[in-house]
Amino acid sequence: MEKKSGKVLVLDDEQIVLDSVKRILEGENYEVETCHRGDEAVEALKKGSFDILITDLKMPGMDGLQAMEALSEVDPDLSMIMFTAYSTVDSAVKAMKLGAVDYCRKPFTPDQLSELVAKVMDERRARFEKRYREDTFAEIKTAISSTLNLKDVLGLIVEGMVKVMKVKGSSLSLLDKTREKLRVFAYHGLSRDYADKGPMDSSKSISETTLEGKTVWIENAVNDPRVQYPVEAMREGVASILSVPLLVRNKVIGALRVYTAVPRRFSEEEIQFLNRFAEQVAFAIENARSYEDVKDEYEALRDDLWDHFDKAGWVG
Amino acid sequence: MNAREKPKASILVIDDEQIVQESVRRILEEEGYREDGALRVGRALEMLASESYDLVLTDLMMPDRSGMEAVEAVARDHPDCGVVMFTGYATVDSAVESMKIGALDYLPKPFTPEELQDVTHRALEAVLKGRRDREIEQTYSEAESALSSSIDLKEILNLICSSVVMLLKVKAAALLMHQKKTRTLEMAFATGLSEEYLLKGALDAEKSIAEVFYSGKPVTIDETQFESALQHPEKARKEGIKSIVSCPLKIGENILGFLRIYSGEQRSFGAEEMDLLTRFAEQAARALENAMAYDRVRQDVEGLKQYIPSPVAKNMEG
Repeated sequence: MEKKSGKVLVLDDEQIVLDSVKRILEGENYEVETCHRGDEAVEALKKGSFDILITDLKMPGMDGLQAMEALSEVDPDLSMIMFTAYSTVDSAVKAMKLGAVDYCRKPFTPDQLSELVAKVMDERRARFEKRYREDTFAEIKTAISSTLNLKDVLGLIVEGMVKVMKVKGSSLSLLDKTREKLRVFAYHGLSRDYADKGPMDSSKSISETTLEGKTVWIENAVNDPRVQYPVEAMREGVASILSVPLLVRNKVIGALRVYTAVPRRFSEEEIQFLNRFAEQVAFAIENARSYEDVKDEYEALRDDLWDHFDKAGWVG
Repeated sequence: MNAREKPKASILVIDDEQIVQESVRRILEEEGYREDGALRVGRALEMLASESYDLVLTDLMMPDRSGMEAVEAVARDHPDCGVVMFTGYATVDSAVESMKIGALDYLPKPFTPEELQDVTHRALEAVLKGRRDREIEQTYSEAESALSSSIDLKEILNLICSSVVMLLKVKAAALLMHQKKTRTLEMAFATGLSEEYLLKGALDAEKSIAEVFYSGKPVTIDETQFESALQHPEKARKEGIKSIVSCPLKIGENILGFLRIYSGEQRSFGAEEMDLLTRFAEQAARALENAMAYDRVRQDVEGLKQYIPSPVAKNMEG
């Protein structure tokens, strides 16, 4: 069974409830802290961060709803569950409006409690993963848009991909002028040997699909017939590959790939994300290339001009 | 608040009892809302597909399908519409369930007209807030994509101004670039302003928006401050400008210039809007810097081309 982790804050005025919830959840490897009063819970939350709050409704002093309001002000991300022996429609609606993820009746069985906490923890993980991706993506975009140096732009892209997708490695290939071969221009987290294993024939395998503007997912590179270099993939420790096209105004200019160390699927959300990532960085590549082109043009012109005034080559 | 001041929101009422539906609709109508009704969930979903509503009020127990399905369908397929459940068979379970899947509120029957009005009003506020937030997010990300999709200076200048006008819903926007040598601000691009206003000339950077210069933060000037803060207050009045926000375009500590937005109505910009403007200005500054770098080299190329005698130029084209 996969190891569970997470911190739970339990608020109830009855010691026996606190004890049993603590015992059940600690048995599932969660860290648990208990409080008898709402203001204690607020203090506990100010001192340390928690994933989930489990609170009673009726308590002397601050009741469960007031506690939820105060606690969500301290940490708007806290997932709150209300348990009560005095459930009413009115308090249920109030609790849900205050942002509770669930409202349950007491008494409850240990299984009900464990299942609910596990479900809420999973939802939190998914939410934070998404937020991590968005925040990291924003940082990467800022870094990329701060330079016009093509090499820097490509480097930031491959490095950013590994960070944002939490994978082993990444590569960025661009199409050559004949639009036949994809050549790797930048990579991160991969050995030079693997990255330089040779050009990818765009009429074959993954590349072909990529050039049609489609996403390709290879679960296991070692035995997938679409992979052009399976032996090299095995030596490198590459398991799954996800490849998305780099498109500028509907024209494919290259591909982005991520590589994992263990075989895995990518969620629909992750695939959409990587495509969105590719869409944004493709323009940065185009901009940097335009800048290099115009600089090259300037230098060529300068040299030509020099040659023209110095035909004999005395100076140069 | 009287009925006329309220936005004319449209509300769909789903209830299988004609009499309940009619009385709910009458209350809403008196409040100035546009209302519509359906006796079945199936019919309501058809109506939702062809018409747009701001809010759905649904009963729970109905003969064809449960109101829960209506809540689910609205939450899933119509993110711009809110949904509230009301029922004569209120239970804790259905209350929790409906709100988990997306209901904004849950109202046990019977209720007073005041309770219904109150719930409707609050639900509509939440709907409008959510819609506006999504709209801003959408406009912002479109603007961001647009800014990163070009390196052409003219296009970037235009994109910055037109995007910020949409983002903050203002009358006009302008880009003033800081000329270090002459210590003036030059209007590089503007949208939504008249020729006459634009021709008022270069501004003294030290005077005009010195405050923004030194604080590095956006500064708002409203009509009452025009005399003391603007170099040409009478022209701003004639143009119909009520308030101006100037936001610096910074790369690190270096100020490239200012992004100005002009509002045609008396309006105070909230912290969220200022934050949005600042975020946008950061993106704009980087896009502008890149486009300016590209433009400089472009101009150098053009400059060199002038010196190239025609035979050489021909060779190059070949």
